[in-house]
Amino acid sequence: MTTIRVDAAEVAELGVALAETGADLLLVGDPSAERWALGPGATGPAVEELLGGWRRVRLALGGSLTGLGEAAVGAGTLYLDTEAGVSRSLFGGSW
Amino acid sequence: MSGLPPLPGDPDAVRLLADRLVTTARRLSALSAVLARLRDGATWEGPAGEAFGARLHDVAPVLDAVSTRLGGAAPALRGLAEAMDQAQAVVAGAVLDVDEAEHAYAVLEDRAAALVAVGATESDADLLVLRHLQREQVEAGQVARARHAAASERFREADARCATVLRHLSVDGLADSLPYRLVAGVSGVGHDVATAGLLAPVAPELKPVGAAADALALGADATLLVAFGEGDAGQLATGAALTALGVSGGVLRSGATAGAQRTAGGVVVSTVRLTTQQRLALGVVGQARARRDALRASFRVPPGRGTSSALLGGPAPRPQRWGGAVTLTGLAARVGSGTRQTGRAARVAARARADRLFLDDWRLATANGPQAQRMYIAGATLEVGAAASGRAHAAGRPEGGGNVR
Repeated sequence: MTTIRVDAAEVAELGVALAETGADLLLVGDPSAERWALGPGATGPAVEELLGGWRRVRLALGGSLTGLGEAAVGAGTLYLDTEAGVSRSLFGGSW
Repeated sequence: MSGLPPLPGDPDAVRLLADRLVTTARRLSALSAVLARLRDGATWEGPAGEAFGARLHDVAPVLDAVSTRLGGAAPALRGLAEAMDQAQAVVAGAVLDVDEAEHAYAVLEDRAAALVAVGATESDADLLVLRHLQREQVEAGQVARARHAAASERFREADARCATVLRHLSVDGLADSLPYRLVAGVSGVGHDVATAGLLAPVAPELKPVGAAADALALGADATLLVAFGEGDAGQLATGAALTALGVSGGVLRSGATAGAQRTAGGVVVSTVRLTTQQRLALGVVGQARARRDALRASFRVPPGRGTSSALLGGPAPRPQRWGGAVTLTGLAARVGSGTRQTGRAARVAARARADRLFLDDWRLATANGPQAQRMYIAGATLEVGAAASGRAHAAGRPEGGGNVR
């Protein structure tokens, strides 16, 4: 039976990547700051809509990722074992 | 001057924006792939593990959608940058040519006027030559204006094509609803106008404006929280309420100090204005990095991003490094051995360092404003409470019990 092992530091790395991405999403600035560079046409407002028109999902996703990141770092001292596609617990597991 | 307008915009900044969008899209896509492998390749046991797995299920598709939205804009923006580059070169040349033609026409007109002043007529050869040269300058100006108009039109077409692509990308499952936009807009405007209240000492007439806007913003924030479930409770909460959100003291303290810096002269200044939610996120990142670094130190893993396991997308797992099973006690000893200090002098020195650190952080939080101060106090209170609870728990715990988080 094949066993795939993820060590604690790797889970912690994943947690940091999740938390950093989440924070980046929460910290997105005012998209109108980009508008001056785009010229006088319709692209400026379109870019504003593209970058700023999903605020609700952005905040929710940012919150989820920071939460997942925190949880993954918290789980960084546990092993995740997978046997034939079935892993042992990430949380509440034992060493 | 010709009066012809230049073509505003910065092609390099547009390319930079496209590059940033591609980088972000790739990062989100890679993260989504890692989460998908974890989601599909692991079976979670226990309520916490199942909750974690369920959240992975929810997050990965959203990451993919965001990646598509942002990454899809890059080709269109690069096309616009190219068109802008070409159009600006033509427009700038046309403006210059028209200016020169108009200046030359004026110089020729001065010479013609001088000839007329000494008795020359329009049929005189010298004046005929001048009029011919003037007509050439007028024609040169017209050609330049036509080039300007054509380049501007080409740019308008490129701009319209780019905007169409971007608008198409913006119509997806991520887009905000109209009611949400209205409430979020009121919140933003309210907070902006509310800053007028800060000017009250020098402009008393602005005080009621600021107060009214503040109330408006508060109402909108409450609507965002209640109607849309937006996790911005901290914006409305006191320090005590923050602690009820379940975040750790370290996260609160780290978030409270985010954005404040010391200058070379030792003065503390706040460089950014952050919401409570943003501070909490930065606090989580700070704490996550600290814990990750502690793990790296204890496990002696080479620094750098990336995952090496097959499950997370890397090569086959490394052989186990410690030979034999790792026990909770062994891990605790390994982590603790590097930091444990003995002796009264060491304790006193450590206490002094902690006090200095607390005061330093408190100054940073103070620079960030009252909201950050409340967050910092809440975090410090939580940490003191957790430490006291931990000592009490340790004192009453039977041998061999406990778990490691």
